[in-house]
Amino acid sequence: MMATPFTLFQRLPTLSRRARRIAILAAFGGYPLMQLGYLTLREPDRIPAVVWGPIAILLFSATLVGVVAIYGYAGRRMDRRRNLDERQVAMIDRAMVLSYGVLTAVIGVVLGVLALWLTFGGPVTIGMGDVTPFIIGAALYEPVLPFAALAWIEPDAPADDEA
Amino acid sequence: MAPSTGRVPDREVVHNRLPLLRADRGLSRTALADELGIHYQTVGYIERGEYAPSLHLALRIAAFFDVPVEAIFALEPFERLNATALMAGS
Repeated sequence: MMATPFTLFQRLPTLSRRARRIAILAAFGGYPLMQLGYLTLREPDRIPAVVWGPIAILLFSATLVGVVAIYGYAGRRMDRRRNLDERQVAMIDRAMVLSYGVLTAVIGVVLGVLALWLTFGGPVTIGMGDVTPFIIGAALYEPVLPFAALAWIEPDAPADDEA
Repeated sequence: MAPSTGRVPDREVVHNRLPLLRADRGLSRTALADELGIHYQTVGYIERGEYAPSLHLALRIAAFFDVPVEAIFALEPFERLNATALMAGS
């Protein structure tokens, strides 16, 4: 039987840990790489738009596919906490602690870099164009962070049924 | 019960005989999970030592198999079954 997008989405909760981690790397690597590539390659006109276009689409698609895979793996469980058993609840709690720990660390690093820049590099002017990629990144990644943490830490599931 | 050695384990590992008891009763993971009201994967994670159940769940598992909880769960690995142990049990 041919797999439809819906049946593929239904299979996401059974993803192996390796596949989950690849999806997380794709999700969290794609968009920042796209922004970095734009800043270092496209904006200084090092590569033509016709070359950059497919690369940008590919990187952003990797992010979207990764986010969907992460949500498909963990989303349904995290939305139905009441129906979970103690191990599943404990895993979600661990994922929450990890994800907000990571978020705190990232915010700390960004503020630290900004503080160092202001101290040693002098005043900086931040326009809306500089901030927009970070706002999009935050809007994209912040909601999915606990799901990603759960998908990252959970070991491979035992076999469905063994006598 | 074995006296405490005072040694702090590196990781909270709880050894168990759950697969043995489950096989003895001819139960699948799903069947046992349904009896206990937990997810079948949780049974698998407990068996693999990747999840240490709460005291409440451990006692419920023991009650289900009608054995003392220390017959199923232990901090030290269980001894392997051998002919002497089997003969002593018969």
